[in-house]
Amino acid sequence: MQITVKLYGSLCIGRFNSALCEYPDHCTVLTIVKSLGIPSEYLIRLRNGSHVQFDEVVQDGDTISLLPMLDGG
Amino acid sequence: MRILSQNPVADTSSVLYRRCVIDLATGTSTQNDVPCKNLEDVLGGFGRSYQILAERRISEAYCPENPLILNIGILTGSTVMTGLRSYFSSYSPLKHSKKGLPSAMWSAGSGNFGNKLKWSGVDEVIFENRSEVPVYAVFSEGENGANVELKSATHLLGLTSHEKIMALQKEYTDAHFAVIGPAGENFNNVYMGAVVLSTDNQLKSGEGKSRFAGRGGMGSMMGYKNLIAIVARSSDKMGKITPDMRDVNRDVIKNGGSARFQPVSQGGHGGTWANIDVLQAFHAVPENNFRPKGDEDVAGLFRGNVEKDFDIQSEACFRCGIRCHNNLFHRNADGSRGALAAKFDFEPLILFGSNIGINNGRQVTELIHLCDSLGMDAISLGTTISYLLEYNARHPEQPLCDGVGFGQFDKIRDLIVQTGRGNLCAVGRGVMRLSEQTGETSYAMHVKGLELPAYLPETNPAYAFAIAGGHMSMGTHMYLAKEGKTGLDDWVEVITRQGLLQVGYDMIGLCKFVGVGMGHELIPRAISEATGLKVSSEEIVAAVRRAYLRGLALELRQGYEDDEYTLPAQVFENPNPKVTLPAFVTPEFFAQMKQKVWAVFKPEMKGLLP
Ligand code: SF4
Repeated sequence: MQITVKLYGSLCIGRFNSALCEYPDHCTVLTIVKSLGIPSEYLIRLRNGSHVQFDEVVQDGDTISLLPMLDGG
Repeated sequence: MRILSQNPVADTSSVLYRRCVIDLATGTSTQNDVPCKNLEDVLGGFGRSYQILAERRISEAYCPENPLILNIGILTGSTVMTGLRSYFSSYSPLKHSKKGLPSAMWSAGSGNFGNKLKWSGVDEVIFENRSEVPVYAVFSEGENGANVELKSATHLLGLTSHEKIMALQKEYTDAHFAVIGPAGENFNNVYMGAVVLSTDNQLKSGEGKSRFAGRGGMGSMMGYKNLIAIVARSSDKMGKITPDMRDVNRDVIKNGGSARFQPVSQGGHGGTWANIDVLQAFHAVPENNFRPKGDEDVAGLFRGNVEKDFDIQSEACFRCGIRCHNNLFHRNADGSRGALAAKFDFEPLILFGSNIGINNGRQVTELIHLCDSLGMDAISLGTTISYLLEYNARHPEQPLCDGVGFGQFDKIRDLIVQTGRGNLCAVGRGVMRLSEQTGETSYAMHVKGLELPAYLPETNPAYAFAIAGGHMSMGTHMYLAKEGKTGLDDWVEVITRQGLLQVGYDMIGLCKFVGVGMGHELIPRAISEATGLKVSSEEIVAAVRRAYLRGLALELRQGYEDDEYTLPAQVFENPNPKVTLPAFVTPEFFAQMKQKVWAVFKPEMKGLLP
């Protein structure tokens, strides 16, 4: 299935900002994160704009956004 | 500090800290070792200073009885990485209840000043009364504690904060400095004066790379007391780093929490600047007075775009491997690095950028630099200016301050200079007072009289329970963006369990950018390795909780009413549809949240004040 993956901030470095990626059916958000070599700690995950857990199963045509979880100061 | 037993919980009085009381009116000082009354005293920072403030009934900030307390945390001056914080506490000239009583406040800063103060031989200084003439205080290491002198500061008057530091360095080559800028000197018209702290990098390079204890007008308090600077002299007394301490410091660097603030080149996310990318994904970056427009205008302030014009260097405070400072340097015509332009942290970047309609990196750097030089709190100043600009946009026929508007760089620059030099009290006294004068309070972005940082209030209802600055004293400002949670119980839980523990860093002397919660095992391990004291995580968490609740109780004693625990009315009256994060902060939600939070807090607050 085809998933649009969007990356933000430093996660783009050496990867991409936005790409259409091929993944096996029934894969989870965590599968996508791992496939990109992104550490799963401190990561904001959105599926079609809504926050999701790592074990959320994605569907063909979804957009998964991954953002670094930062903080203030 | 004198530590006579390893168990400070069983016998808190076995830990003693060295207190110096300086009567600025007479120029005399006394020092003694004070036994700790509780674990908050042992941990230090505001946990200790608020107990002193609680003993005084102060009805106006600028009065001789209002003390200015300078202290450190238990890990300041230790070999724990980031253990260098110093704290300034007082009843604030800026933050006050509607009854007109000043609220207690503290403000924290990095740099190397806190270390030097500790190594000079004192853990706490209480400045009493006020001096008739401008003075600076010098602490030098002596045989039995610090030697203390007050000296004339006439030659420092009118200098910018950086110029003051450089002038003092000529005389004191072994020292670090806490100074005020022109804003603090003009305390009557500027209530948002910051304390400006020197860094090693600044003293070596001669460039204005200070750190700031900005919130609540502690620099204005120094100005009121005619205390223009504080000099802390000592040799470098950093202890030997044991193998166990090396492990502690490795964990400070390697824990994922601090990695977020480390440079990209080091595998981190590049400091707080990177927040702009994250929040823009939700159109939640403040623009035009906390009113995102739903467009991409802020992209001009993304790192990749600013990098085209400036050299960006990741730098650090004394021996800190987190290296969270993003310093911007001009580029010379030949492409080499030129002079320092400004530091870029998220708050000043947004509050002197998109939130006042400026998305040009060059212009933003100039405004940040001006604010820093004049010695003002970037958050209070930026947020007050954005209110003024919105007021003018709403009242083109009868604007204030020469009709200055969003994006008008030259006029805004002039406004900052006029404010910092004490010529514009409408801005210098903060947004609450300004909005009360204009009669339009709904879009004045403050909570309880303290200006909001650069996180939208509709995304953080917990601002109401921050006791000393919206994001520094309630760690929930990114909760919605991070977790997406909008449930009532989620918010009550995060406020009453995790959010309030944010203030623990303002006790122990470490920087918040260590990035772990107060309940993390790293904290007791660091304390044990640095001091020998055995304290459990649970005991630390309980002490931090008491300290926070004491602060909240002190707010109530200073006249805050229930209706002041609120958000700017615009949040409820006119939600912004451009923000793509869930809009959940309705009046009903907020009222229920407050009720539940008070139900947890109020019983625990009993007995915390004298
Ligand atoms: S984390 Fe940043 S502000 Fe804190 S001590 Fe390190 S360099 Fe300084």
